[in-house]
Amino acid sequence: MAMASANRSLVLLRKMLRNKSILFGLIVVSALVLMAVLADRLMPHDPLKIDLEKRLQPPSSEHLLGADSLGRDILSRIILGSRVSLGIALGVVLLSLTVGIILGTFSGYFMGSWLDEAVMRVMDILMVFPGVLLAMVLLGVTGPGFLNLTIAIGVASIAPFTRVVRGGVISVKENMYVEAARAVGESTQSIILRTILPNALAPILTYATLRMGVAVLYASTLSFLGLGIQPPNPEWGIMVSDGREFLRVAPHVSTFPGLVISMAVLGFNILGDGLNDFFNPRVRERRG
Amino acid sequence: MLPFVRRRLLLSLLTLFGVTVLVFLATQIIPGDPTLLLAGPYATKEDIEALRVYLGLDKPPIVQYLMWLSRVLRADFGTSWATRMPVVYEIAPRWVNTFALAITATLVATVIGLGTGIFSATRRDTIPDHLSRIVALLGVSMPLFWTGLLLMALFAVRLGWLPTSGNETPLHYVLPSLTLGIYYAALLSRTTRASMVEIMSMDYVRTARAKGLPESVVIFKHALRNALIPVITVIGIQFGYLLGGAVVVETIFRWPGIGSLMINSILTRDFPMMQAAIMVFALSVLFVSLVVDLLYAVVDPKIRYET
Repeated sequence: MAMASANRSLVLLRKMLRNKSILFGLIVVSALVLMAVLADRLMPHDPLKIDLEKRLQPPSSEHLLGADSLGRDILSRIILGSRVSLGIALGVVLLSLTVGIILGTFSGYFMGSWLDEAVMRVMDILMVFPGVLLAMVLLGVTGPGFLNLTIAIGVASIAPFTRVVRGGVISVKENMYVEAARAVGESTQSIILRTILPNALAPILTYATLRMGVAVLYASTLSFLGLGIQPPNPEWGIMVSDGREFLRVAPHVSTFPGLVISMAVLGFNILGDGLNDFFNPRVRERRG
Repeated sequence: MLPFVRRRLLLSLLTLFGVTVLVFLATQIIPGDPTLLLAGPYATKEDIEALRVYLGLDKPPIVQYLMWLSRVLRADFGTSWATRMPVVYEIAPRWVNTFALAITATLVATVIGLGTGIFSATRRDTIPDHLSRIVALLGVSMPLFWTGLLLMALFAVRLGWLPTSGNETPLHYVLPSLTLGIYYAALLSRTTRASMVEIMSMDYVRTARAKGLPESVVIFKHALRNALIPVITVIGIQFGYLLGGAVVVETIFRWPGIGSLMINSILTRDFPMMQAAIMVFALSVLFVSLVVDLLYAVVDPKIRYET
């Protein structure tokens, strides 16, 4: 059994990698993860070491991406910054995915009940605020910092996750095999955990991938605005903000970190897009 | 249609009520005593107690909420802790500025987004289509604050064609609207393409082609008209996100709008100002989504008949 299922996932993986978007997205995301894990070895310089003599130095063989306004090595700061961004994104998705699965599953399974109504009305209220704004308001209350930033973006991501999970559960619920499971007397708990959730997993995981990108974007935006991670911690959004005053004399200070944010978010977006195409049978049928 | 409108209005009111509770609760759980902050370091214990009674903070939370709500309903958001001026004086002109920016940005987004979306959909799976999709994906991946800074570095700092900050002349609108517009154009382009591709595979489009109608008539008269319905919804939904993005863009270009006001009020912990800014944001988003939903019901006969 175990062998067969391992084999099946290998076949699935091979099929997935034939999708160019998934392949490209996976490469970018893996590179990011490697960068974060191996940061200590990859950094050519101490990312916190100030050297005013090298202030705003353009890219050179010693400092491949140049130095910032305090003479710190930009490349090393970008590498260490990947830990901050990925760490936040992971925390955000874990938090909002967990809450979203719980709320969305109950809401979807008991569609139309008072529970569903109540959950969806609360989500309506949260959805009034565009995500970044809701996170901003929460940070205004809690103050800045790594944990607060993660929680704020996480809470701001709960409503969209709940909606996606609810939608997935509702569409799976209509299937015959759920009816069959109910007919043979399976408990509600077992139907939800063994039949509905596994079958609704694909769109949920696809959405989670896209939300990783959104979380990276939000985290850097809020830090750029001064509400998230605080200096001197190397965070990509702060690094862009650092270069604001030197756009004329040293545009590289803002340009490189921004480029890295864009690439990271693009990686998650393309991967999510590819997964979406892959799992969405309607698109597949039409193409095939 | 009337039951639909009634239900939609009721839901909006309910949501708005929820928003007021949320905003009130948010300021309740703020760590630290606001009276200490307000009274300053030299206040005596009696001063602080008097201030607490004056602000109504000695009353139970429910009473405080109702007092706050009744003031908010009269557009009285209190006095700014930073400027000691009524908050409304600051909010009103800034809201006009933000709204103006949102409109010009929406125009930019609609023109570019619809254009590239239609372009892509009508050349489906060709190289120009792939390129345009990649650019659109890149557009939603680049952080607004970075694109804004790049545009500023190029057109304002290096070339000197456009001003870097402020909102005095029409020229001041160009860079902020472009920054905000490009991002939403990318989103819109993706929706337009998806919607057009879907519609173009419909039977009536095939019929129109079979009749021998010119391709431009098929695209613009038969396909686009129907594809526009979801696109209009997206434009409406995006309005809220546009306001979120405005916070960033206003900060970069020193645009005197609600967004930059909100950031400042958060950074300086000016809570009455923050509450007011949030409420104005929420009201605008709710209003626009209500209007879009009602328009949608007018445009799409299915909704009218079903409810």
